[in-house]
Amino acid sequence: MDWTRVSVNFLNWPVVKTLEKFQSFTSVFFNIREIAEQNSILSRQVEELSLEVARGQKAKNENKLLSEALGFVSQSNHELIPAQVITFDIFNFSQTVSINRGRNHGVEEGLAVVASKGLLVGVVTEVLDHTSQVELITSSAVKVNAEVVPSGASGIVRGEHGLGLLLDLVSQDEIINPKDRVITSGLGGQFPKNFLIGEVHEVISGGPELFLQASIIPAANLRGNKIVFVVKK
Amino acid sequence: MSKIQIKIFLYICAIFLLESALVKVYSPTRLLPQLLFILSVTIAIRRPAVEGLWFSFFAGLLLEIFSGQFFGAYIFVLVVNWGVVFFTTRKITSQDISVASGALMVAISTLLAVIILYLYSLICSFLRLGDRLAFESLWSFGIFWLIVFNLASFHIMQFIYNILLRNDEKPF
Repeated sequence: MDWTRVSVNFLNWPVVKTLEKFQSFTSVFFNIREIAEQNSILSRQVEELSLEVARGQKAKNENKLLSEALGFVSQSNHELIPAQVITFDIFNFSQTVSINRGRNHGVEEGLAVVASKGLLVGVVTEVLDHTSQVELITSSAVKVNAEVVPSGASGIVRGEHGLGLLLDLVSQDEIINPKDRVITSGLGGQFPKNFLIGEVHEVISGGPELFLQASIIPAANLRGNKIVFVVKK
Repeated sequence: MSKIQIKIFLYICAIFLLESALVKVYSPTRLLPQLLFILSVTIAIRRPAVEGLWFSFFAGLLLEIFSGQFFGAYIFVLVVNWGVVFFTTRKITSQDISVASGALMVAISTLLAVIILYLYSLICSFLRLGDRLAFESLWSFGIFWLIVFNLASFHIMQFIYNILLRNDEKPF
């Protein structure tokens, strides 16, 4: 019987192939419910995997952030209190953020807050036991004694109600150029020196004004900071 | 062999290839129309006694190639079924059967085939040629669907048969 079966299978080959194509085409219609179920299962799996990917991406970003922060802590000469930003007003009318470190962790009012790589973020304005309020440097209430590098021109950096930073009170005989870096000068004692504030974007005055002014682009990403450091004096 | 006989022979071969391909593509456990069986019913209705008997035997022999039953089971089923259909259409009803009587013939033949197969297995077990088939394994609700499939394929095969032999066979 075997040779007859082999022969029949050989003769059958084109018919089988045609039927297989027909079957795969029609199976869509006959297995529509099964396909719908599979689709819902796969959709659920895609959602779960997307969530996993998002979590993985978040962990990767956090890892990168923490690695940078760790590098910054080990290189810094200051005593730093690491903190996590826990609240942030998305519209940022108040120009403040909350951090998860407070009086119990050694945070005090008036301490400078920086991001990794030594970028100035703001100043602690209110301290509770476990949390603190930080006023960002873009707030008009914050004024920082600053120095322009490389010219060495000194002035005051103040916030423009969340719209940016302004370097003011720079003597007319100083030279400021776009792309110059602005750092804390350490004068006044509130902010330690040599923390980066930002970069000169545009020199605004130069005519009959008494002082030079320049708009500054903040160096720190004030909206996206997750980890910051309170600088103990 | 006459021209009609050659055409019927080729028709049987083609249907056998189609049926075996169907079994191969779709699982053999799934319900599929018994194309060759239905063709033998058509032949029993349309062809003379000796010719119909030989064709039924040949169709059964072809089915034996892929049969998992005792050898001869399909030959026995098709030949007995040929006899039943042949004598029914010659002695009880007309050869020119209507849609309703054709449907009844197919339904009865399908049910009869199951019983004949069971009886054949009984004979084989009595002769100690093998174990008897369990009747429950043959008799299930699936037979209803088998009848429906067979009915559908019966009318299609009648149609093809008429096209193939329209110039050779005298009308009833």
